[in-house]
Amino acid sequence: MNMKFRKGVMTTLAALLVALPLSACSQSSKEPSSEQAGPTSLSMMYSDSSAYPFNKEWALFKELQAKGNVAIDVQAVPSPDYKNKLKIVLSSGTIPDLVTEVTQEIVLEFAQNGVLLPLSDYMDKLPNLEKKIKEYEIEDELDNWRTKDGKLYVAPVMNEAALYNTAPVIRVDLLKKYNLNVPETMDDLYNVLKVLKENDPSSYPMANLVRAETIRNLSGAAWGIDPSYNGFVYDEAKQSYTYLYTSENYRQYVTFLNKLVSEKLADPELFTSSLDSWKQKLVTGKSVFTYTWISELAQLNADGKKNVSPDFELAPIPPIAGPGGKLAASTQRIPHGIVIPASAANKPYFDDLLAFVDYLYSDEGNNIVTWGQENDSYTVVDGKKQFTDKITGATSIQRALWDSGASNQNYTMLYTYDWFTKVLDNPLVTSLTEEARTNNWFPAIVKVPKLTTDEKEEENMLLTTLKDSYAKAHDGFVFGRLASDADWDNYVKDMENKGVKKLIELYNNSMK
Amino acid sequence: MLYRKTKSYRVFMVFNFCILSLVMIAIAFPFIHLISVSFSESAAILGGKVVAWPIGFNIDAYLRIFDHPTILQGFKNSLIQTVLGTTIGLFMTIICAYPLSKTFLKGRKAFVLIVMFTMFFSGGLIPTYLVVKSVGLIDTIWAVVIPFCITPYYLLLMMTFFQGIPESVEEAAMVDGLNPLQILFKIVIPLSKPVIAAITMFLIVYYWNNWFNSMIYLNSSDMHPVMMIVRNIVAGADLASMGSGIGQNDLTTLSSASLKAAVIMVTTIPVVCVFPFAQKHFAKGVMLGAVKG
Amino acid sequence: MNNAAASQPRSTDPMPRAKRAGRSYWRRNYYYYVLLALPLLYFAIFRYGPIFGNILAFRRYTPGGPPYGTEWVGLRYFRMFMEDPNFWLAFKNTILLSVMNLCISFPLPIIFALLINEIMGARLKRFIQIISYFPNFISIVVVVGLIKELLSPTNGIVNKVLESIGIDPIFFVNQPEWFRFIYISSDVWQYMGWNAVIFVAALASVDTQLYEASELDGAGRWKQTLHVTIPQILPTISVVFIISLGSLLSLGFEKVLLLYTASNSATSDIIDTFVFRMGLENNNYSYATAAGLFGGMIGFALVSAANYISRKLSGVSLY
Repeated sequence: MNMKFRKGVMTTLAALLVALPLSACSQSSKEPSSEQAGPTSLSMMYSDSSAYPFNKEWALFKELQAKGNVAIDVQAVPSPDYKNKLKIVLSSGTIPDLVTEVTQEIVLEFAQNGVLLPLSDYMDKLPNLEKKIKEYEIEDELDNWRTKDGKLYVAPVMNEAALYNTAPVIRVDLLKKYNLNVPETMDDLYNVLKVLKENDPSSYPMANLVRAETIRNLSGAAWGIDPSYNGFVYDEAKQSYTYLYTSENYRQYVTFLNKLVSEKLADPELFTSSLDSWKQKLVTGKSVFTYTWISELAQLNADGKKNVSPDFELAPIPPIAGPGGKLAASTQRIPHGIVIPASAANKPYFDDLLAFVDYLYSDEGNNIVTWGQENDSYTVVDGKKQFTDKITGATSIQRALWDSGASNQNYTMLYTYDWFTKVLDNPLVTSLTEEARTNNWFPAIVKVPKLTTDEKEEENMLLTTLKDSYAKAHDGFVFGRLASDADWDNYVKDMENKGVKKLIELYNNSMK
Repeated sequence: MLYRKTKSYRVFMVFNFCILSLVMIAIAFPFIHLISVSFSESAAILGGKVVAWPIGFNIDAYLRIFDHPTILQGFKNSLIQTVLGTTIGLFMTIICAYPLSKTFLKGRKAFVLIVMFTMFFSGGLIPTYLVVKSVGLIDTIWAVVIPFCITPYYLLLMMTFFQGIPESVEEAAMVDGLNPLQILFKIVIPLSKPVIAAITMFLIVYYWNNWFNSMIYLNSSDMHPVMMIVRNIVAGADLASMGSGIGQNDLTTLSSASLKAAVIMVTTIPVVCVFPFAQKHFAKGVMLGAVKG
Repeated sequence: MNNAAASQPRSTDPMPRAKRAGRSYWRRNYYYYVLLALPLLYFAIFRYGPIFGNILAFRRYTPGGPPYGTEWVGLRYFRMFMEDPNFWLAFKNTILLSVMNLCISFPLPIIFALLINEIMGARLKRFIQIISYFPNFISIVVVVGLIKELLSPTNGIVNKVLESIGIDPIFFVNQPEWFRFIYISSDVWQYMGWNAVIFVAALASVDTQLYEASELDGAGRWKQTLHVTIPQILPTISVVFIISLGSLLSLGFEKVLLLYTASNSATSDIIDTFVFRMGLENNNYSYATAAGLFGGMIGFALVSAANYISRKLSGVSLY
């Protein structure tokens, strides 16, 4: 009994000890061998959106692999945690062959330490990418993605053209009802909101999505305080960087918001509304004006019609002019990109890897991931592509594409203007974008300072402290804890000492 | 049980029931709200009409969840992780806690300090990742099971409970010729059922809920537990998906609120179903006398 | 419990006897060491392996560079936060919130467990307990969503009630004076039932003979609770308390981060959120590691002090 018992325990212990090395073996045997013929097997770290969870059975994804002669081993990571995992993967030297959806900040920070492959050194193997960069006239924006040495470490996702896809959005049915004009200036806006409030005293006419930054990013250009690099912009005239969030324009911006809040024209939860509660305010008629993405309107209008009245209509309007001029929100034509580890250059399948990346930029490859299969999801009429009834007849074009593996942010590298407008399927976006182009509503591109690793560390520390104080003061001015006249000078001085001066110096030095 | 007949005890029991009922309502109400939301239509939820009863009853949220390409595989993986993790964790905690409960053991104090030290000093995510990688566990199920199998807090609790067993019980067994191993498995463990049940519950919940380690250490989607899918649904729908691309533009009657609520129901209920089995061991007190005799 | 002194070998014995005693000590007790071998291996690899990563606190780390840093920088990163007044504000907030939370969230599960223990019907008892676990399973994101919904100044239930009795809506989640109340009360709501589990287990472990004996002595229920129940579960209470005290600096980071707004930051900025912004978001792992070491030292000091005091007062100690 005694022996038997002891034996049992010992066997368990031994089994546990053996389990470790065994599992290690089973892992190494899983490594793909590149010797065998057939498609090259590539690993891809993939940001998995809950709207269209990754499915290896997607028809278009299969076709893409077949045409590109690769077999992609997708490592799906939930999108809210993608950045977290990305940092660990990049820091621990176990980087998959392709890493998708990498943002500018991460590219610039990690590229300098030699983890990422400088794609610009291999442009001869990426003819399609080179061609599209020229075709899209995107070099200005692309330059912000290059490191100080001028190299490019990312295969960028590119939009053919800037789109007027965010806008001030207002209940046009109410404008009609009360005989109001579409607001054209910020003063108009104030007056319109005031009338709307008088007609529905319990309402908060203006709402905003989730964060203070949303309203600043979407309306800031008109105030002359956006776009910027964390508040800093390069002033060509002064040959120096300046800080916009202590400027006179910025003071007018917070004064305006404060006026709206104190007269209850704006939602008290202006900076803290969740996505759901923001929607709730709009579709119940509690709020009637906001800045948002035009693509959200279809759903909002459908729910609003059910809840408020059949006339309910939120519609996008042209930019509302402010001290900065009549400008739309800045649009980033390069939202993110794919990076490749530097170590891939020594892999036997390196050429195949680059060929696949380049294939994603080719017309054929791009067609597959945007339009799908000819005569199935799209047809060509008079040389122009159109979605078939199968796609347009679905609950939404977007969903129909997602379900087939198309329109996937991870591996769609090019968004053509033609395709984009057809997917958005909103004539207003097209007409407003045309108008935006002719009237120059799109603001200029901001220069991102190129910093060395040491400078970057210093910048991060200063910037975090600065952002904290900025956010506190911003809330203070808007909600009335600080007065935009009496407390202004102190605020400006405080910000200068908290790092504005040092950062301007740092950025100016980086230009030399 | 004479005391149960006194008047003051009855007053106390009425008072007790009132308090517990209040607590129950406070706890249950948000849950009933979530259940109602999971069965309601988008317009009603956004209209703020749903309180404690579904409006526009539908099961779209549940259909969407089970439409997820890897949800069933996810449940299976979660089950495997939980069973393996709980078994190994419990075993390791017991064999570590038992010797540490012997105050006469040389080196005990040092070992307890070694354990406690790790409660306050860890290496951070990247060093831990590098260790797990160097042992060759990345992308194997062991990576989410072994590195976290002993929680110092549970270990110290288990140790305290073991210390609570009177010396005399073990001494009697020793006299009968049992060695410490036999005493552990034949006497100590049966006498410690409540704490073992409690820590089993803790471990089950830890392994069932933990999506983070799987996210970090497992690359293949085939191995992902269901909680990773949940995480994506609950935390995923945010501005990021609107700002960077085309937007959701998804004309359905399904709101993200009901999807979130449904996903909580679907993943919480399996775990809660396990609890009654563990709780059996809380119901009756331990009778040391039976062993002693 | 505290019989260590009694069972330790006497050191006054003459040499040969001590040697003999030593040999028989090993013969009698080697089983214990065998059992400890595997856990020791575990701690060595998985808990102490990564601890070397802490040298990052004294070395400079560059994102994508070597994982253990590039050069020694001494106490540079410690100085960085030590000299930052915002860090000390976060430190103060952490301590205040923790102490308040400990005072409220620590005793409630014990009281809850005692109240449940008085329920006679086993089914009812189990039912109440299971219901009480539910909130523990709702992810923080959703809990914070519910809090914000409930307390919203525009359409939250609480403010609607306040309005109906003539009080102006209060913007609870944006005001620093309400933050601690919101944090602590939601913590109690979410974890009280679950934290009671260990005390329910402790109550179940009490020898029923002790109750029978005290009943023969004519003790009422109140007296029994005071003289039998509480002393019997005191070791568990002490251990949980010692460890809670040690983790004074670690609060529910995710919840605080989600409740944090620029306006309520005067009370809601805690060490974890501060270090998250300064260190982790900026990829400055050296900074984060240094702050982590600082917190660890405080935690370890607190737990050692609590252990010492507990040993002096109640005879219960971890080591």
